[in-house]
Amino acid sequence: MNLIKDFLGLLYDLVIGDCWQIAAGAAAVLGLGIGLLKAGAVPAAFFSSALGLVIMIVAALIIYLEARINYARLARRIGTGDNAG
Amino acid sequence: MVAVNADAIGLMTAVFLASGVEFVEAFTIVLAMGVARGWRCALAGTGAALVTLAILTLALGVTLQNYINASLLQFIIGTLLLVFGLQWLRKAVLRSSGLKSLHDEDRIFADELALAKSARHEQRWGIDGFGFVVSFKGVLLEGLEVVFIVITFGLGAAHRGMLDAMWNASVGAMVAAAVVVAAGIVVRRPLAMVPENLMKYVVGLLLSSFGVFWVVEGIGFFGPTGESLEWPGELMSLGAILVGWIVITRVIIYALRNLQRQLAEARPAVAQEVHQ
Repeated sequence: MNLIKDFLGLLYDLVIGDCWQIAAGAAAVLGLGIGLLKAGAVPAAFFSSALGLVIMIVAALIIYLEARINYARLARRIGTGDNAG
Repeated sequence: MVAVNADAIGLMTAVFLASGVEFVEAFTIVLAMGVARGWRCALAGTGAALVTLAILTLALGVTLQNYINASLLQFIIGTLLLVFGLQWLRKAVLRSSGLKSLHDEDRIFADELALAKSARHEQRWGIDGFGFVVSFKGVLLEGLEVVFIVITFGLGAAHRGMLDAMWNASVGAMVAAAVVVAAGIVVRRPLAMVPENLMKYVVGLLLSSFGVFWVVEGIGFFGPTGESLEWPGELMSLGAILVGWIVITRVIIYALRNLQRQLAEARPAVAQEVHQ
């Protein structure tokens, strides 16, 4: 049981790592892409380029905002003298 | 006869860079165990991990290649590469912008060595248990990433029609392993001179670019025809995606550096904490 738990933990670390927001963002964009593709809502000629662009923009925003939020949180914690986190 | 052309060399180079970084990290752990606990347990742990990895690679590679629809496989590979690559890219961005301390093999080696020297000595079958387990886990963990890289890059290239793609990807990883081990034997210390942080940034760019390219093609599996989508200009798009990632990451690094500078000036203790 422990072995399976360790292995799943290893896989989680490998793929998701310490920023789950990236995986969640990618899943959301791909889910949306699948929905649009099934509905035929975007012209096929633009679909691949548009989806690629959206993936890159969303990923970039997540990386930037996550770093910014974490840094602000750290600054606040040190500012209030609470170093427990 | 193995086909060697520009595509094959590109594939081998990508796998060589990506797996080389992982081998350097594994080497540091094994070296620390070898020095502190003896080479017998360190090499036994490494050997056991390599056997486990070989079995995993074979099982995963055969299953993925033979039993999953090609477009769906491309989607799965693309998704994994994208998420995996973005993790690398994120860390590289944080390091470049000064929000995360740089990867330092010398420091990691010193930490591992101190830990190994303080741990209890327990022999099993004539082998030191601690040294064996740490070497095994270190090589398995870093090796799993190599397996992942070889399989995803290999299958992705095979799907695009490259001959011997899996073989070419494996050669890239094997050459990386040979170079790291040979360099390690020559210098007999952690390979701290390897520009790991730059390599990780380059690998993050490559993984994320291939990830976007393949996941968008593979998403066609869910469309009306069930076949892979096509990018305009085919492989030219891959180059455009790579350039796109370079521009995006440079912009993020610039923005985060400014943020780091402003906050560090206002609160020096924050900058100090970030680098610990």
